[in-house]
Amino acid sequence: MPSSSPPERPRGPDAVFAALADPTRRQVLRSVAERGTATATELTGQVAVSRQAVVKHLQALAEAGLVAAERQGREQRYRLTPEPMADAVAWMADVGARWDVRLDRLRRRTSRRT
Amino acid sequence: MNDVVHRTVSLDASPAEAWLLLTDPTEVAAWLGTPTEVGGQLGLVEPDGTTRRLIIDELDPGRRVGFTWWPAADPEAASHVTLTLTADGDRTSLTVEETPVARAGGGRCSIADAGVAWDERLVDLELRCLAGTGAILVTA
Repeated sequence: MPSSSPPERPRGPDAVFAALADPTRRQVLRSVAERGTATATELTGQVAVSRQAVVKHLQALAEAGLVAAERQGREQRYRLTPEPMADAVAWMADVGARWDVRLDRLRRRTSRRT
Repeated sequence: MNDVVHRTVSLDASPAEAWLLLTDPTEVAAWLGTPTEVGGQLGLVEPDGTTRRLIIDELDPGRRVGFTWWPAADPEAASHVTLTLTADGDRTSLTVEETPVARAGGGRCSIADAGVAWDERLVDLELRCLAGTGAILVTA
């Protein structure tokens, strides 16, 4: 087993959504997902930013718990850690379902008065 | 604020009537929750018994109200909600947007970052695409 960096504790859906607010970062994440694992060097050229920028995006994704790094030679190799994403999807589904119920009550209330 | 959860409904009400639905305590109690006071702060008791604390941080009378709210039992689960009314013929559209709020001390992913303009549908799509790779299904 290569040495792993300690897993970032996911900070909740807020951190996930904030990390995904940047379109380039989303592209970086998608590229990691497509490749399974990737280094910053491998991703440079796939996205229209410098390797240094890719490194920064990968670090931001790692801080949000969306990817985890393993040292490989002189580089970090990143892989997708999907739990925070699943949590964020669950958050959206849960909060959305609550609004569906509330708005249904509201809609029924307004249609009763006519 | 950027919304993550986004809903729009068409209400059989004028904008003035719709505004009452959003702000009159009796009306609010009928669909959202019974307004109450929790430790001197505004709160809501939802029909399922959940008590939420709430801070109104945006008010554009007749048009828009924004608030941060959280379950009293789980202050870390705070989120921001905006309710916006738009006149639509003899009806009124209500748009709901809800976004999780970065917690105090939550590191660099602060609410300031969330101010970056982005399309919530893109992120939603992104999450669903990634979920579709099986990555989420495998570990969820």
